[in-house]
Parts: sequence; C-alpha cells; structure tokens
Amino acid sequence: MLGSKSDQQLITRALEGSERAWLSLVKRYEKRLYNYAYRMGGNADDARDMLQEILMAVYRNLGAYRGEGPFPAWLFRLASFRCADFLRRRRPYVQDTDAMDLIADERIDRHPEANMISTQQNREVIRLMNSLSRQQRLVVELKFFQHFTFDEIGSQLGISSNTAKTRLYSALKSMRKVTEVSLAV
Amino acid sequence: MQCEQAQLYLFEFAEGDLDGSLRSDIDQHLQICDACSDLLQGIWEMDLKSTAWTNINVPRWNRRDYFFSSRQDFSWLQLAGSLSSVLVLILVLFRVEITNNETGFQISFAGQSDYVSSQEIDSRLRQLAMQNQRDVDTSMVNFTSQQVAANQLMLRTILMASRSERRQDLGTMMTVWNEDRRRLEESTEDSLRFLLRNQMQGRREIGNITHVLNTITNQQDNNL
Ligand SMILES: [Zn+2]
Repeated sequence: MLGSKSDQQLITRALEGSERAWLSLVKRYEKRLYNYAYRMGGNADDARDMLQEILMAVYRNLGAYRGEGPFPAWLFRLASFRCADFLRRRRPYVQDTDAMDLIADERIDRHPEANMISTQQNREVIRLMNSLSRQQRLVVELKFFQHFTFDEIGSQLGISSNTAKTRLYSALKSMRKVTEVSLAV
Repeated sequence: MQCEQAQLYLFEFAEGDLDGSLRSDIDQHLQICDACSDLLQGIWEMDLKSTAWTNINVPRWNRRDYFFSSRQDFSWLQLAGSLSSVLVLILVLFRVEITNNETGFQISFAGQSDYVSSQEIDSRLRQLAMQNQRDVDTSMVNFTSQQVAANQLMLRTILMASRSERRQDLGTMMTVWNEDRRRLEESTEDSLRFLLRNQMQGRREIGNITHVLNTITNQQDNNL
C-alpha cells in the first residue's frame, strides 16, 4: 500500500513518543484482535475488555519488541498470554444457552449500531468455541483463524508443536461430538 | 502406517501440502481408519466454518483517553525499554527462575530449589520487596539523573504494585523474556551482553544499575 507506514516504522515512531504512530498501530490491529477476543471470550463485553488489556500490554512492552520476527507473531504471543490470563480470572462461564441469549439481548438493546454476531455462521462458531476448554479454544483460534504454523503456535504458548497438534485434534474431536449431538436433537 | 504417524501429517495432508509416498501412505491409511478419517473431516469442517466467520466491527472507544489521559503520572511507553531491562537484570542477578505454564507461572529465588505456585508469588515478592527496599532506596540516592529516579520508581512499581498489576507485568515480561532467553545461551553474561547491545538508554546507565543490583545481591548473600 502506497503511503502506509510499515509496522516497524510505526513502532519506532511510537517509541520515540509519537501518540499518533501508536494509535495508527492500534487501529491497524484492533479489529483482528477484537474478533480474536470475541471468539475466545464468547461475548462483546469480554471481547472489549480483553482487547483493551491486550493493547495495554503491547503498549507497555513495545520496547521489548526487537523486530526479530514479524510483529503479528509477537503481538499474538502477548495476546495469547493475556487472553489466557483474562479467561482464568473471569467468573465461571455462563451456560451455552445463556450465552446465546446474551448475544441476542446485546444485539438489540445495548449495541444496536454494531453488527454483533451478525450471521448464523458466527453464532455457530461461538457455540463450538464455547464447548471447548480454554487451551483447546486457543489452539483452534491460532490455527484456523490466525493461520499460524504449529511451530509458531507452540512457541506462542510455550508448548511443543506436537503438543499443539495433539491439542488441536482433541478439540476437533470434541467439536464433532457437539455437532453430532445438535444434529441428532 | 499407524494412526499416530498419520495424524502427525494430517493437517499438511488436508492442506494439500504433502506429496509422493507420504501422501499415498496416508491416503491408504484413511481408507481403513475411521478415527483418522473423522479427524480429517473435522479439519475440513472447521476450516469451512472459519472462512464463514464475518468480522465484527470494534465498538467505538476512546483510544487516546485509554492510553494517554489516565496515565499522565507514569509514561509507560517511554520507560518500556528500561522496564524490561531492569526486570531482566533483577531476574538475572537475583537468579530468579520463572517458568511459564498454562496454570500460571512458577518462581524460584536465588537458586533455591523450592518452586512456589502462582498464589505464593505475591508473598514472596513482598518479602523480596521489604528485604530490598531500604537497600534500593539508599543505593539509588547516589544517582542523580532523572532516568535513575524513574528506574527506582519502576522497581517500586513492580514490587509494590497491586497483585494483579504485578502479575500482569511480570507475566507479559516473562513471555517476552523467556523467548529471548531461549534464543541465547542461558548464562548471565550472555543475557547482560544482549541487553547492553539492545539498550535504548546508554551503557553507563545499565552499568550503574548492574552495580547497584550487584551490591544488593552481595549484601543479600552476606545476610544469608
Ligand atoms: Zn488412523
């Protein structure tokens, strides 16, 4: 893209104290991170909180990024850590059906301007993700939605790439069960 | 071919990234194995579902206020570089070992072999803070530059921050630091050399901090 600054340029400017450069970087990644957080958290409120926590962590630690790899890989390493931390602290999760009601309510009452969970397909993804454990959900997210390699996922989560693979398979197995059950009903 | 072996390459198979005999071996295995066929089906289904996801717009929020207005007292961004260096120095010089896992992180001080759970980190850090606070204060008084005052503030912030803030800062730093360390030999010297090369502030400042922390460490050793 002509005229748009690279991640590295924005980071350098931000570290020199440019608020504008930092905000540009935020705008560049916030939608991707918000959707990530939405699938991980399952609802809009948690997604927003998680997005802000992740970005604050990036803000505080930006000086530690040394351009050794692509910025998104570094970004999602922090995001995965903060996301796991967030979900660990979160109140015990609401039941599946409640979560669906919540989404419907929010859509009508609280965020009418946003196209929350706009499609049936999004609902289906959230439902499946909710059925998984935190760790399984994270691996599914990083593989299918962020398209990281198993090596990258392993290094982001501090596990081996084979463990990441095994975890993904166990997630797929349990999602297939969920799908079968709902088809049978 | 066994299931275990087939599943090692199943994802690459699904993405069409395999060729030759490996591909046909897996193909053959899939003909006779329901479990692996189911998994492959699962990969394809999830792939389909992920491409059908419609991106949701971020609700409006005031980015400028969130990052800048509420933090006028402490400019994290400018100190981010030194925050990581001070923290790494503390970790190196106090020989703090922190391992990160999914249930939290474990920490051990000064080569002691007893690992503590994440719940105990709080009290251990508070102990460390109390033990070192006076030393840090008196040693740091000798430095006049503003940056050192800021470092002192950071030390205090890290050690005295609320439990959750400290956990968050430590946690995020650990993620970064562990990755860096993995790339280097796990020795103090290498870590320090690495830091010196990458420091945003000058070498002298780091030298000063190293000296102070060394002094503290020695005092601590003498006390033991
Ligand atoms: Zn098999």
